[in-house]
Amino acid sequence: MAVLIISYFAKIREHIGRDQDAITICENISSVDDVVAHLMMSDEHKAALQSGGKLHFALDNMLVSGDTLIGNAKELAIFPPVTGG
Amino acid sequence: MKYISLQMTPFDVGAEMMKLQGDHRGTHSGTHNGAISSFTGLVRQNIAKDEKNIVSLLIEHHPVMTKMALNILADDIMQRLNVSGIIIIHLHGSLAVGDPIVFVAASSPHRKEAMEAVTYVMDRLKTDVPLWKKEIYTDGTSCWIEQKQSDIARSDAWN
Repeated sequence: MAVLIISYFAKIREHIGRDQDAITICENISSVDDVVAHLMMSDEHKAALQSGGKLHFALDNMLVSGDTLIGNAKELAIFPPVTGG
Repeated sequence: MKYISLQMTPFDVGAEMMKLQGDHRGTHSGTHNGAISSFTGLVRQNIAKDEKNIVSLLIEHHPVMTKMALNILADDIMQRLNVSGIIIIHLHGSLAVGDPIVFVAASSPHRKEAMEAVTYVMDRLKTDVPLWKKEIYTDGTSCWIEQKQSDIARSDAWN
């Protein structure tokens, strides 16, 4: 089965306490939202993912919405709303 | 002329402006520019929230997407307005109070486009570029800055 790297940024990264996780993509995980639902099953991830407001996603460095299919992507980045400038 | 930089070291505003002025003098492609406009953002010391004082600002970026987004933003403004030169420099890492955070400058034949381009880039930087700020306070606490509704409204107003 394929492995997907999950990268966290800013408040979410700090809350989880590490930069990345790796999850095995099983049959019931096909979209970004499915990955998030899978991560939310752990209290640690649930608290972190709910800590930073609206979640933004990027698959292999391309911004995507939650309903996007994972396909053959290698990495999913999860980050809070940006605050640069 | 397009120059994008995501860096940890401070920039020299005068030297950056000269890049566009040199462009104006014909050292690159543009000889018809009559205006250069710029904006420099600095780390503020005081904020209203909880009356805490900032001792430093941490700026986190994405190792790939941040530079990509800055490039897209520069290309976007050059297509959208009659802008012949654009410079966007954003710092990341730990910055002290008074340090520069961001520099945006644009050149164009007339002032309106150059000034609009700088405003456009700053408005879109707040919503489109993967950068996150964390304020570190003198009492040792810290706080990630939240995106403001007013920033979203300003960015959306360009659509």
